[in-house]
Amino acid sequence: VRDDLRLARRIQGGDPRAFEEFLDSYGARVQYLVRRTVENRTDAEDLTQEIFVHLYRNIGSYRGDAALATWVYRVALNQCAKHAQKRPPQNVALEEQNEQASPDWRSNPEQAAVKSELSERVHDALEQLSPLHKEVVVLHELYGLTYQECAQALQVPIGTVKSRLFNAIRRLRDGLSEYVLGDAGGGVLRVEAAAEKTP
Amino acid sequence: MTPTRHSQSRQPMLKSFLDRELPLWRQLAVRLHLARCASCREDLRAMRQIGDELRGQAIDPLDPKLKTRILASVQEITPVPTPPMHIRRPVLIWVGGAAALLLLASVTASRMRFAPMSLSGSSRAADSPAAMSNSVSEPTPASRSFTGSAASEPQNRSQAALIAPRDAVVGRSEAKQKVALRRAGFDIDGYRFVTLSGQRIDIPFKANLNSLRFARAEDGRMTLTQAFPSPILSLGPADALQNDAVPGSRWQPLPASFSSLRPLYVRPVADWTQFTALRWYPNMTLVGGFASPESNDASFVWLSGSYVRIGQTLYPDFAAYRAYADVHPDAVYLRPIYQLSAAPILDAAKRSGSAHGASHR
Repeated sequence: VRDDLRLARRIQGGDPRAFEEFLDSYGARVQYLVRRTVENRTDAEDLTQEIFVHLYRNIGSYRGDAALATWVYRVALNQCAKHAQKRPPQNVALEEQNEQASPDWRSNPEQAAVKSELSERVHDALEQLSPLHKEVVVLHELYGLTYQECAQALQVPIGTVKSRLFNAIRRLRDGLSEYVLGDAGGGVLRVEAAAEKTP
Repeated sequence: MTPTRHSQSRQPMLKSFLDRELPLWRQLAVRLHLARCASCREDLRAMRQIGDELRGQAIDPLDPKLKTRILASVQEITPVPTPPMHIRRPVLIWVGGAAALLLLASVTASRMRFAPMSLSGSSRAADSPAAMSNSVSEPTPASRSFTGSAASEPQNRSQAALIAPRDAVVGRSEAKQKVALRRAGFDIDGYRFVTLSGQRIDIPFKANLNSLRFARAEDGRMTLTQAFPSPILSLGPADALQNDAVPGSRWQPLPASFSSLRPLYVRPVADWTQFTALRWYPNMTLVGGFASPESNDASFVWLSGSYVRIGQTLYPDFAAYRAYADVHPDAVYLRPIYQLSAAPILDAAKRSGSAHGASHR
């Protein structure tokens, strides 16, 4: 946190390298969060830019009470929520859908090419989650925030984080049962199903 | 052991166990259970696998063009200076004065509480923030006729204090600041509070109705507490916020039946757009509204015990009130009174000046 505060104060002091460092640290993750909320790629870029301008302008309000990441994600999620309120869900142009679906859209095509089927299914399943579930999964599972940090970033009680996370994982598991459970796990499902039928 | 569905009830705990978010004794309990429950072991394995896959998801680096755009866009922006954490305290010389004023105000108020209703009093003056500063409870005849200046807003600029929601965020190192209030009000731009010592505290909405949370006061006193993620206004059973934009109207966020000490987000209406379009009438009291423990708009629900009262008529729900409003076009909409957005957030002196203008409108 001390380093975070130092970085924040350097940005506030007008150090351009500090802001670039900040952008390198959080740019990809904020962009990822935004893309989970905004389907249209141009809108997602605009919103990512807006968020960083907002973060830059208000960096003084970060006081080092929590990790800088928590503060960044909280601001980003708030901005995403505001964006979602302002604009109804938009249809994405077909070309853009194709572009998004294509591994070429990702900046690392090699990596995309070797993605396992399961990994792709996980990605798809994640996209199927509700926004509330999606954001808690991204913050906790992908970005490694603790429950407490998630609670701060999402501005909800820690119990809400737990329940949302559990429900999200349960939905992911339901969607991925054939992949996740494998041979042994499939057996569990079958046994449970049989147990239900047994009087 | 034959796997059963009992594990479903244990899954939330299993997830916390997997994430190392359980206290030690619970971890031990889960470990003991896992040793004899194949079903839970399978659940744990599945959760772990999903977690591993999620963590293995590639996060694309920031688009270089976008990075350049962002860096360029902040070139001409200056970060807002760090706001002070503390509420400015008046100098010692004012403490004695404020205490004396407070004493005088309370004596005057207690006498006037039993005064006969003054129908001839100036309603504009009576409804001004100064007029209601002695009480935030029911607008009794006494309070309506109370136009004295003993308990009015601070007369000196040094007594004014402003905090923005972001200032109200306190860290571990800072004790929560809690101030007793003698008055609470709002206009279209935000909340305005006057402390017992005469300090003024403004909390702008900034088009966001989540800038404040509400809780029942343990001791029945109206207080404002700095807290994360937003300040908490603790209210007694009859405490209300005066609508300073619409004389005679007020909002009592917590119905009398509400007893939770846990803070909630409460709004008169479901969202900001409805708030700006809300129709107010003189002698209207909105009790309760929409509430949620969370700040996202979708989670707000009509708070049990809420109602709208206009004059002597009670409207038990929002639909009934709206039916009244539809046929009574003489409504007044919220408008800026405090001039909160007219000055920089920390420019206390200018704000103080404008506040005086507002209170003597």
